[in-house]
Amino acid sequence: MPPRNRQPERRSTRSARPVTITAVVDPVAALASENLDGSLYLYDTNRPAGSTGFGTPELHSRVRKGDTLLWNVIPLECETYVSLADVEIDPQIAEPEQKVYPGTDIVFWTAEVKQDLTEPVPYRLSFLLGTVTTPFTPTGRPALAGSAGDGKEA
Amino acid sequence: MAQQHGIIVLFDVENALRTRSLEGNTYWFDNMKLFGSEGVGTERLETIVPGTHYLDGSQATEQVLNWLPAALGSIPPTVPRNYLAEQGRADDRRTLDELAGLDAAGGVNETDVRRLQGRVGKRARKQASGRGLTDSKLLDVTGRTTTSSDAYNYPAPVITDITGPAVTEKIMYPAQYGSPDMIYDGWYWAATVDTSRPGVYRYTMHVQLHELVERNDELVWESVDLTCESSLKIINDPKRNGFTGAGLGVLPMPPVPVTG
Amino acid sequence: MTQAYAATDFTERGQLNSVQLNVVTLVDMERAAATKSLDGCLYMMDNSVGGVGQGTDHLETVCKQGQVINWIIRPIDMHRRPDGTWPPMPKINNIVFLDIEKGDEDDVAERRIMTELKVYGAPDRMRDQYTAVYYYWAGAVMSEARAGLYRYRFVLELEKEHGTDKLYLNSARYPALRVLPV
Repeated sequence: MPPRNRQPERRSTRSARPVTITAVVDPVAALASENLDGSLYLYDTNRPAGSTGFGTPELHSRVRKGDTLLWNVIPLECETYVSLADVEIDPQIAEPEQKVYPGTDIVFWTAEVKQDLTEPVPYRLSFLLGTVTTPFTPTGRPALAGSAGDGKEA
Repeated sequence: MAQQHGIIVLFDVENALRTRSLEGNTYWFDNMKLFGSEGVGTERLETIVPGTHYLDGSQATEQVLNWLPAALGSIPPTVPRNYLAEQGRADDRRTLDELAGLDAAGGVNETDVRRLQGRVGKRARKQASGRGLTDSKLLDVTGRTTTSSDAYNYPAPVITDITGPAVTEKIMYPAQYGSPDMIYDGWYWAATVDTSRPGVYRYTMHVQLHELVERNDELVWESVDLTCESSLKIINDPKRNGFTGAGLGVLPMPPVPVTG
Repeated sequence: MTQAYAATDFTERGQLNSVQLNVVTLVDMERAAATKSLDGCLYMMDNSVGGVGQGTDHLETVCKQGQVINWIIRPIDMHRRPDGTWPPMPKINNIVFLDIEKGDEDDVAERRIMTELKVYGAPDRMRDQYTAVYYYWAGAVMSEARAGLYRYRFVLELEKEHGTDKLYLNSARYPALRVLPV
């Protein structure tokens, strides 16, 4: 009988996996109403660590100094162009860089968290939709937030 | 044909594998919010399906649902998988060429070898029952080949079946259809909907996730089967053209063609 | 109606190789049956950015390596008639990519540029007598396809108004895929 699968061990050190912040965008609704209100849903991979605001533009991602962040986009319509045009945040906290998935022109952004956060730091996302040349920016702002306590594991 | 419904299901794969459940780790979306779908972006989506019929009551045009599963924290489904797999193969060809060019007489540089090893990457063995895994290398979440088994990119979750009252009561007729994009081995789930019976009908989606485990010194993809639920709300408001607000049919055309 | 490319059409902006492209062809079935030719009977459109020839029978679809292309064909008149019958339907029997060498433009291409180019729309299994069955052509531009213009020919099968025999015709002019570098 094959050996039983062991659950991956909880690591006491931080995982090598980046914290991914995903923006789910409804480009058709956004283009029809000419704004992103009600058409932007943010999620991240840190819910066990205490991130809040899932499914809204006001996502608060729990992060710590040294965490790698990755922002990407999932459009709800595979026949419409959507891309993340910019991630604007206090450069003392993080300096996001634009990259592309290898061999494609599909954009994502990465940054390293430079300091531990004592209070939430809001940042701004802007998106290019369809063939509109002006980027769309949501009214609500997401933020990076510090850990409540020491324990990251739930 | 009337507009097709897209239902996108986003799975928090890391958490779902940890808790062995999709409860609290599933976010549903469709493209019908403007027409009345409720719970878009949450775990409790009710997809609206307006009726489509002629005045005599006969079915005018079918409603079609298409499902697209995606993994939160992975490479987005917009990056075509077969494309990445082909890139991987092109990389391997380049690596072989460079290996052939390494001059043993001049002494093989260790840095070169490590660089080539990095490019070759690692492959995990696919279990016999694993679906939807293209034969490609381990990637990290930025799409680059990796030899590390931390921070690997979760393969796309695969829908293995759609069951429940919406199917048994013949409200919808789901099946798998082919696609040129090999993201799910070229299959995706779609269904036509009989809109003659208004009401709310639940359905269960059977999903297969994949986890990378180390077994006897090799990496293996192990499949984990889970389920989640959603529902359809059939209404018999007649289908309306989104542009004109009127019934289905040809779009109004200006009497004189636009020049330029 | 644009017939020429603007310089901006070739800039990176506005086109991802992830967006699925639909090439829709409308067929004037009456004229085709009357003339036994597709000349002047095809009107093509797509949802690409900047492709010239929209509305003509020699559409150039702008696309990138890796992109999926769906070909959809329908008669200009496709509504159910008051007596319950349907007008005659066209069908794509083949999409044949052509040689890029000068002088060989009518011959088949020497190199494939599409992968998985075939008919789609059939279910994995008839799970019920009403499981939907569709029919359309699709394929993906190969990731190693070089940037350039790739013409193709349609071989179409047209139903007739009366009778069960079909009319088989080649497209009179050649539409194309214009592959841009990623």
